[in-house]
Amino acid sequence: MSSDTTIVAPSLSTGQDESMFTFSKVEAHENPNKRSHLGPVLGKSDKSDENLIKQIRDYYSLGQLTKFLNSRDLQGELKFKRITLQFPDSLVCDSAYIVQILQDDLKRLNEAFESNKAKIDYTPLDFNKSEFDGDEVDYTDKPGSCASGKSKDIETLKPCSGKCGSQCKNLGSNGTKITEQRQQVWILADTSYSPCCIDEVAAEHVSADIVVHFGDACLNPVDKLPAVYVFGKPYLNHDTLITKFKETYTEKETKIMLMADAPYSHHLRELYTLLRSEYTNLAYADVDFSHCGESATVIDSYQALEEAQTIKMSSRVLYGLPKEEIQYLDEEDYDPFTQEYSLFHISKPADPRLLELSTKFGELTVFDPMNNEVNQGPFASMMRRYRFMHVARNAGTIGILVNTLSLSNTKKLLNKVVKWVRQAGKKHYMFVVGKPNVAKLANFENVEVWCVLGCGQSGIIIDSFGDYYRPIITPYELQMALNYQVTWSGKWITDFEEVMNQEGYKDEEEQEDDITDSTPSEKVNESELEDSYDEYAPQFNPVTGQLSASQPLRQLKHLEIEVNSMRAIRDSKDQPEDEQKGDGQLVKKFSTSLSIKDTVSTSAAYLQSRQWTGLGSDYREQEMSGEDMNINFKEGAEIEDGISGIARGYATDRDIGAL
Amino acid sequence: MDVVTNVRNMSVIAHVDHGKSTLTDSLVQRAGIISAAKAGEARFTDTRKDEQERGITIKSTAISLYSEMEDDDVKDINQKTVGNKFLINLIDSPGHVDFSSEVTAALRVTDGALVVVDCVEGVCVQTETVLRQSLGERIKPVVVINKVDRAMLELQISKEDLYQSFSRTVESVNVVISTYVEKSLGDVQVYPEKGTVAFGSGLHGWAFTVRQFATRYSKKFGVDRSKMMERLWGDSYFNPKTKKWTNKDKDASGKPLERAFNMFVLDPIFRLFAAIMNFKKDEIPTLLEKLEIVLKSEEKELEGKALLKVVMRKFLPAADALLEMIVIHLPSPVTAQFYRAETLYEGPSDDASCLAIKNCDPKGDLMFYVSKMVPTSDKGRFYAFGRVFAGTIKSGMKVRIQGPNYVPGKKDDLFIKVVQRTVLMMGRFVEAIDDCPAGNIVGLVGIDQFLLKSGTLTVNEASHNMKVMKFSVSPVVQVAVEVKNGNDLPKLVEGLKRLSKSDPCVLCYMSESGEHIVAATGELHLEICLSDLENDHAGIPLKISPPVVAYRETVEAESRIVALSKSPNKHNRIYIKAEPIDEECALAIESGKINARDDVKLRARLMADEYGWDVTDARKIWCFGPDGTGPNVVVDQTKAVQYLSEIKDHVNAGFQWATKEGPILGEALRGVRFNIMDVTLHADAIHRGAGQIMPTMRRATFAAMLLAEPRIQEPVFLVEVQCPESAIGGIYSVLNKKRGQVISEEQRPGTPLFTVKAYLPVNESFGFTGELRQATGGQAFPQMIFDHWASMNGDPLDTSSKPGEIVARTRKRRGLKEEVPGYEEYYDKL
Repeated sequence: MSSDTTIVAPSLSTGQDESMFTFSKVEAHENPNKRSHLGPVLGKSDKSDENLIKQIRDYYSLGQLTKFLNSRDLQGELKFKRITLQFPDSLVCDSAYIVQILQDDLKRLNEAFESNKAKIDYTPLDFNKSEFDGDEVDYTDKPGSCASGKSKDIETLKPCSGKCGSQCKNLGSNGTKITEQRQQVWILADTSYSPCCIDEVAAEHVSADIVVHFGDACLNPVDKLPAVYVFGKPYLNHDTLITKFKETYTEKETKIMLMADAPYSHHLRELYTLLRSEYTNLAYADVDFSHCGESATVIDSYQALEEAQTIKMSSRVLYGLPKEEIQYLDEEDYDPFTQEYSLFHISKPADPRLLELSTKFGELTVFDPMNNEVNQGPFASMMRRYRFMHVARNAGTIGILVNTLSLSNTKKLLNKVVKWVRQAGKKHYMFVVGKPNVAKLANFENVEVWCVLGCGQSGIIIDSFGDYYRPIITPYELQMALNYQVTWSGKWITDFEEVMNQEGYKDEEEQEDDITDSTPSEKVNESELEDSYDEYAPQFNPVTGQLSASQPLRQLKHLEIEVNSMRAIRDSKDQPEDEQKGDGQLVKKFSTSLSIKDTVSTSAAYLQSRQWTGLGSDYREQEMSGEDMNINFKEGAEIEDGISGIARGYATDRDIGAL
Repeated sequence: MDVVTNVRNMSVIAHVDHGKSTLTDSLVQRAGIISAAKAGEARFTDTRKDEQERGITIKSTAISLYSEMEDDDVKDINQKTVGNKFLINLIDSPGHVDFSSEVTAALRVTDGALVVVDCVEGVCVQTETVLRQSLGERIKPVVVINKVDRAMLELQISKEDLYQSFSRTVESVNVVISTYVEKSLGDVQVYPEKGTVAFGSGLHGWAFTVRQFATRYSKKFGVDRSKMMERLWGDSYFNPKTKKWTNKDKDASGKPLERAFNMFVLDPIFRLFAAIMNFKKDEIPTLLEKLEIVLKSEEKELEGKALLKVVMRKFLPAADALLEMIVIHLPSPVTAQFYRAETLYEGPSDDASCLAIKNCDPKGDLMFYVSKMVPTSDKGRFYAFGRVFAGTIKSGMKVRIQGPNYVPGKKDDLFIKVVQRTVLMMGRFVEAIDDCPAGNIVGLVGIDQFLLKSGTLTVNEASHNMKVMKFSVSPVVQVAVEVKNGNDLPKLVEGLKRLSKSDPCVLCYMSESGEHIVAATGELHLEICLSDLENDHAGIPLKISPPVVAYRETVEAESRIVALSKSPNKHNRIYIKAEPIDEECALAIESGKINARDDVKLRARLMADEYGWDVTDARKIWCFGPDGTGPNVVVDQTKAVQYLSEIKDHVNAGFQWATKEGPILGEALRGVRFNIMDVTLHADAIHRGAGQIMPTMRRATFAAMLLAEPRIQEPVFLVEVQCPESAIGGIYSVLNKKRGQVISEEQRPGTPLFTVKAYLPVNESFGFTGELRQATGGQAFPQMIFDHWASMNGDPLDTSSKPGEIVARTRKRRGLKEEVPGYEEYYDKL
């Protein structure tokens, strides 16, 4: 990470879903669905390692990857010495094998390079069982694992030894000889934010030269690191798909768009040719390989089709659209144009992606290649977002949740968002919580609405069932909410660049100077203007139907008189009297500490409203209620056995279970 | 105005079509604002176009009248008065049940009520409702029995029948009043012989009280007037032969005697009617002469009804009778505030502000209650309409604007602003004034932006709020509105704001699924609100969904097992059981009788004494929900749990969250009590923070509820239909079809009319009026008022049952998972 970024991601990224805490005994049999992406026949029936390795090699195009990773510059120096591998949760199972293969291949290539500098030739290796069975090969004479070798700043990162055990000690075997040329491979154990993005921060921990990203990706450009995307080539049963497709669309004239997530996209071209003969208005959306920026490469990318006019849309290129129609379309016209198309999506996209697609296309059908089922919704709707936007309009405190650090423009947008919020007279707090979940966000009770900065594919939380305590919105929605006029476009824009290029924002930029100029004169006129609209007046909140004063930063002004008068009263009083009023509470005169350093603290105001005011406050309550209840609280409670054991199953639980 | 003892603040209340606005006209006419000819037809206080077109009042309208009384009359006023000049601030209110909230707002700022009752229809459902409300607000009623002309001309009933009808009506009014005995208010029953009942016809512009006739006859008989008044009502007879008064209806020889009221009061009127309507031209002049009525020359040529109107108006001008009744019998602000102060003020009854209200002190600190917002000619701006209860309000004065959520010492809902102008409301017009002392009703300019519907204005930091008004109706009928054109969205939001300001009861909010909802009390109210929204407030075309009903979620039994939820980190556990709260207690919480803000001990005592709660439990109520005031409670039943009070705030927050959107169809909970049986907490504070406790509490609440035989409740209307006997069959068949339940059917004595009362689920009420009309040939017109919540029979989790269908439909509309999650979803195993 370059020096201008001061924020360092804390490694808090432990997902806390239910499954993580359910206490299940380690089960002997393997998950039958594991590796189902490799295809049904091979993945299940033939479980021999040899076959598996071959499959993995094919699936991830590891040959090409090795070649790329081994590339050297003109001086013959290796371009990438520290290689990090990033896996989504579903593919972690393959990580050990991949590391193994990569390390072996790279080693061989490097040795070959050493011995024969003139010729670099890639020859696939024969993998026999013995090479992979760490127990049989005696590596123990070489102390230390691959991780302990070089860097010391790796505590936060699991070295690959953590995953693949003794196997990757391979690397060290000939290490002494080729130290300079050696390439180190790391698995990034956990993705901090969204699995579809390049996790730069984790890679920074080992000061990696390159990140290899496996699985589905959003292809959003990254600022600092070169990246390689390996989508994999998942198996897809074309016949089943076509049958399902025909069941879904009986009308042959329907305008249909075929789309898939990045790994499945390589089937699209073939499917398109198969279906095109019957469906005349069929189009498909292929991955836009150029979307990932210049520093990133997609392994196994194929040549984009040469078509004069195509529509590009968030990491996808749309092919097969009628040329005469799209020829004169401007970018704004894309949405109404694509809305005429029904979308047939292979594999279920992440929630935010799904929502985005639902705004861009007419009807949505999701085909799940795992069980070959078709799902036509209902999916999360934009109407809920509309409500959230209104909640944000009337929120006094906005929590800005940073859920990415690697996306380009993150910092820029963050600053913009802060500025918008401030200009609207609202209070903001900034948070980085790692992977957000209900409990983490609920900890900040006084935040009224969350604005999440994250990757549009899976970094944004879509709360479809009201599980979260407060609504979560995107910067684009926040921007609409902070507009003076109620606006709603029904669009779903997550791209940071695009958000910042919205018209409202541009205007704002221009106005900015005017505002600073005009403020003094405005103040003069204020008394005259009082007859007309008052900007400090509370707003009508269409969500609750009440009036709400949602601009805490502006409230100071209209309460000023009072605060002053309160001070005057307090000053005139004697000090001892004041102390008597304090009543032994720890915090006195909270109301004046509502403003901290000339800015309003809504948290302080919230704390004030709490019933629990610190130790001892509950005793006072008990004393008061206990007076005439003939219960003497001064006598201590009887001594009982407390809880013993660990949280997930206290020893006392067995007794309570009888309840 | 400055002589507060000579001010009378009163509202005109009645059932729909009993003639409030028409009667008000005769008062307005007296003040010279409209011509006598128009009075009775102009309905001056119906300022809106649709009010005029439909012939019903929708908004209450205020008007200030000035009147002078004769010294003789002033003597009869048994409260402090100065001089004989009086200012009457009158508020005409709507009679349709859907607009009851307008009545509530009007009652708050007035001290007396003129209850108008139709002489033929008698005391109807809305008469009862508004009467109860006024008594609850400690407002003194006087009664006008209206449409006497109808009884005489259409029904052609005899004098004695008319008397009986009068006395029955008076009696039924008194029956309602007597259920509300309030010591401080004294006896507020109405007695014709005391002059608190008037009889008349608003349309013809005449009315009389027994007192007026007593005045006439007291001279003739040389008897004291008060004695005469007593003789002119009830079982008092005059024997013309012996010239003796008696209380027997037969004379010594057994011949029947005529009742004094019939003889002295009704007889002249009947004779006039007979003469004029039967065109006995020769009789008329002598009669007129006898009654000292002088006609102008052109009036003499009139005939029939027109002549009758003129004559009656001269003979017994309605304004005289009404003004006399108002001035003499209704309390002045000084009198009224003395006993109303404690019911009006939220704070302690011995603080400075309360005392100032009590004494109606114009020099004290300002206490002003804004009861409603009145639209100005300037679009989107409103007059804050209300009453000065203490101090004096001046234009240019800096006031503290305290919204309904204001708590003394805090900053929420508090604004400090300048009152730009003070105006007197005169129906369609306003008149600017400089200042206004305690006891008066005025409108304020410049503070409308800071209050939504109502609020309190003060100058003293220590002043509490005035009590919030409780409406007898609740917005149970709702629709979703949507703009046809996306660009109009800002206008819709602004329109919704204006709509919710202009109506005291309408609710504009947003559903979980992001629709704008407008909720009103009934179909008519909704119709008016929507047309206002579309044509006036927003001014844009709207898409309106079919009406839907708000439901509630509740439980039928105690949770069959203790519901347990673990926090996300598994270090904390909450054990909860749910059980139903009985209906009376839930109602008491809803009506504010059991108030979350009350002192814990007093509240616990009340709950123990009246609702059978255990005192210890009642004291350990942690909070009410939703919104901190709703009819669900959390009770702490744990023993010796360490750190428990530390998590109280989080538990309460989680509880509010859970009770607002229940697990079954995302509606608010109602009448459920959650007992926290036990809590396990991690010893380290960081592991029992809000994030761990709040979601856990919500899950535990849901689990406990789903384990306790959950039910859904639907709102039920009380329907009252008046119709002739022939139409009853039709009413029954329509009610049966609509799951209606007849609770009473009785004939109104002396008339061929039957009154049928029934319960009708709000869900079935859409289109009920139309169907009823069809089935009865247009003879029946129902009045529907929200009555109660009724639990629906059947398990809402079973999709084949009726509630199950509703649940499935609602969940689909709201975009929830179609299946109601089982308790296992929220229940954690040990």
